[in-house]
Parts: sequence; structure tokens; C-alpha cells
Amino acid sequence: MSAVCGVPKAGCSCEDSDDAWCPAEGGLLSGERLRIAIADGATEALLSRQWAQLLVRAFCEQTGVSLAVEELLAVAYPAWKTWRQGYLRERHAKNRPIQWFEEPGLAAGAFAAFCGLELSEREHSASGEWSAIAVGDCCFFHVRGDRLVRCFPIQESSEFTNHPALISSNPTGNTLLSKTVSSARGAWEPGDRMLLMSDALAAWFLKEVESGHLPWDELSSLVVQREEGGAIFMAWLDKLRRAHAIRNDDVSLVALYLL
Amino acid sequence: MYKAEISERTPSCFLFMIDQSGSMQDPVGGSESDGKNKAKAVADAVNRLLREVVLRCAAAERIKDRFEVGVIGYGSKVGPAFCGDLSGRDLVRLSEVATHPARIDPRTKKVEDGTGGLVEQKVQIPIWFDPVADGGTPMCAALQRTTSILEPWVNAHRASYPPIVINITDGESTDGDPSQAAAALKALATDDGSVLFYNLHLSSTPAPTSLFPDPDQSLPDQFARLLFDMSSPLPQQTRIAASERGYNVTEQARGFVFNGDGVVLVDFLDIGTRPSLR
Repeated sequence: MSAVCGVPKAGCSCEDSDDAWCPAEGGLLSGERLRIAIADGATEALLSRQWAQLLVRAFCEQTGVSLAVEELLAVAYPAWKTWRQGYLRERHAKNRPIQWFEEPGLAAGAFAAFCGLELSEREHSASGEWSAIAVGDCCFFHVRGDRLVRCFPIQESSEFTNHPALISSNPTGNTLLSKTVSSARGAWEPGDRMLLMSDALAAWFLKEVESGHLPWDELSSLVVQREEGGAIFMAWLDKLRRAHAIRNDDVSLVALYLL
Repeated sequence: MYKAEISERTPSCFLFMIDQSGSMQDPVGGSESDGKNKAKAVADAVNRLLREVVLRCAAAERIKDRFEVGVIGYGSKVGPAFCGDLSGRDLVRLSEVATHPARIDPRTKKVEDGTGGLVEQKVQIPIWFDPVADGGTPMCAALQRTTSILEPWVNAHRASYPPIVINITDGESTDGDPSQAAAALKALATDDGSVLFYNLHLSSTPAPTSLFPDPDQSLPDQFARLLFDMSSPLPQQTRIAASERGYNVTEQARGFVFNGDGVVLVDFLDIGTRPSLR
């Protein structure tokens, strides 16, 4: 199984971007199983970018385990604990003590929305299966030809809110996770496009579809142009933001074109 | 209206008016007051509100300057009430408020340890104001001072979410009926809407807490009626946020709180993505 993967260049998100994605760089991906993921840290929670990065890495590196969110957290929790301890030690060592306004956020933990996709091949076949999990409003769109075959977990642009479900780095913040995690399965064929997006771009994408447009060609062409990709993507985003067609928020995209 | 983004690029403004008059020596009425006097209740309320605004804008090692903040005290005199490095200043950046409390009080609180038990955690509580109860209650003069501070602000920030003024008082104005001065304040506006004037009424009348009533609800005393009548209606987004959190608010709900916790007013503001409260 092979796919061309496109991701935006650095700098496509707002200055304090809390988005993370995996793989970090675009290019040709091959293997029996492929995993891609996107996560969007909650802006009002501290250190959410680091938690988002850790989640996508934990998902993409664990191709041998199931997609269950419990498996993801079994890797992510200890990794987070180690990272956090190192962070607090470094702050102390550099004489940058934790300030009063950081304490509640550090105690509560970091939070992020998440969507992960795994593809596997069928024996003696050019096609295969996909599985996805999601918590919150990072979205997966499955495109075949000029048709949107599947959108997950959100079906309509009106469903986006400012209070999506989130995965917490703190176990006490995940007591409702079993109710908020979604999963989905399907089949893929060569030529299919699998797109993961954080919420601002996903909301724009769904609105375009609801208006009868085919937004995937526009997006695919923006990430495939790897040479000048960054500047062209930014200019396109600026145009949408000025027209208030997209929320002024971090924008992240992982695009897979299956060969 | 009331839809402008509140961000570092387009900041908004909080201005608190705190009643520091002699009448605040009396105790707060009602069963939730713990017998404290109104001056302590005012100091606690504004300290909690400032803390809440700062926490809503906290990031690692910095504060996002989404608001400018002012505090006008009124009692024996009327003027900016911050002390120390912020002394004498009408409006300061939120990051300056965060890094210049008058002092930090260490406290402990019990938190869940994740395995069903409770553990004690040390917390640092910032204090900007101590109780003051001295002099008359020149609410009209305080409103006029607030208007003179906010008029150039709204002119310089036409695209911003309008300023939110929160008046914390027992309502017993001694320099005349403040209704007209309040109307002049609420006449100020940005392109996104008029100044929002909310009142936190701390009363000696022993009546239950009332949050965001509408005009049909009866109020405990004449001062509550006066303050209620001056309070702005809650904007639609704020009503939606209130309902999502389980508060019963109608379309006519006003930004008025009687003997209750006004911190929810900050909680209702739409700033950034945050962990769900459910």
C-alpha cells in the first residue's frame, strides 16, 4: 500500500498554534499499515500543544495495537508524565518558577480534540480497510472521485461549537471519554483521498459541501505543491479569513492520496 | 451585535466600580454570606473576578492580553483603586494586573487524587484589594468617571467587543439618582454594541441569591430595583452560555446579581476553546 501524504508547511497556523499532526512531513508513505492523526489543543488549557503532539505521535507509532482510546492513553499518559516532570524541572532550574496564574491550568492538565486514521491492505488486492477514532471536532473526510463518501465524526457544519469533547492528559478529566469517543470503519480504493482536518478548516469544508461545491480539489492542490506549498496555502487562508469564510483559528490538514 | 472576537489582536475592556463607602461596614444579608461585611464581600468579589479573567487568558509563562482592565473605587474619594505599581492608572493591560497583585496569599485546597481520594494542594491566591469602608457613596461621580475613561477607549477600538462595566455595591447612592449617569455610560458604544453595565448587589436585606432575573421577578428592596433597572440586558451569546451551564435565563434577563457570585459573568464570555464543563 502506498500513498502520497501532504501536510501544510510550518507557519500555516496562528502564532501560538496548538495543532499537531502526524506524519510531521509530507511525502511518499508505504507499508502494510499506515497511520495518520491530527490533534487540536484547547487554547484555554495550558501546554495543550505539547499534549496534542504527544497524542498524534503515540497513535502513529503504535501500529501494532488496536485503535481503542484506552490503548492510546496507555502510551500517552506515562509519556506525558515524563515530559511534564522534565518541563517543571527545567523551569525550576532556569529560575522561571510556576506563577500563580499557571497553577490551576497545570493542575487541571492539558486537553485536545483528536482524530486518528489507520489504513490496512487486503491480501491480493489493491484496496483495503480503514478504521478511525475521534474525540471532539477534528474530522476525517473520505473522498472518492467527485463524491464525499464519508464524514466523521461530524456530519453537518452546524454541529461545530466552542465546547467540543476533548481528551485530557489528566485521568480525572477523562471520566466521560467512553461516551464521547467515536469510531468508524470503511473500505478504501486506489485513487481515494483521505483528509484529516482541525475544526476551523473542517467547518469550512462541510459548509462548501453543503453549498454544492467540491472543496477537496482546492485543498489537495494546495498541499501537493510542496515547493511553494507554504506561501500559497497561507495566501489562500488569508483570503478566506478576510472574507470571514473561515474562523480565525489554527488550520491543520493531513491529506492522503492513495495510489 | 456582541459577536466581535475577544483576542490579543482585538482586545476588549473590563472596568470594575467598587463601592468603598462607610455603609459597606454592615453585614451582607442572606444565609450564604457567612456573616461577613459588605466591604469584605466587595473586596472578595473584585479579587475573584480579576483572578477569573486572568485565568481565562493564561498560557504557559504569559498572559494573553485580551483585555484592558480598570478599577474605580468610590467612597471618601472617586478614582483608580489599584495600588502599588498600578497605582493611579485608569486602564492597565491584563498581563500587568496578573503580575502586580498587592500580595499573594498561600492557601490549601482539597482536590481529587484520581483514585477516589482527596489530597491537599497548595495554591497561591492573588489579592489586589483589601476591604475599605469610608465616606459617602458617590455613585453618580463614579459613573461619570467611568464614562470619561471609556469614551476615548470605544473611539479607539471601534471593532472591539464593547467594554463590560461591573458595579459592585450596596446601591445606597449618596450623590443623587445614578440612573441618568448610567444611561450616559450605556450610550457609549463600539461598532459591535453598547457598553454593558452589570451590577452585583451586595445587600444587608436577608433575601435569597438572585442571578440574572427578568423584569417580572420581584426584587428584595428599592436598591435592588434601582440597580436592576440600570443593568444592561444579557447579550444573546451570554444567555446561551448561561443556559448551557444550567442557569435559567429568559430573553429579558439582565446583568444583575443579588447577594451572589458574579464570577459566572466572566465564565459566560466566549473566549477561545476550553474544556467542556460537563
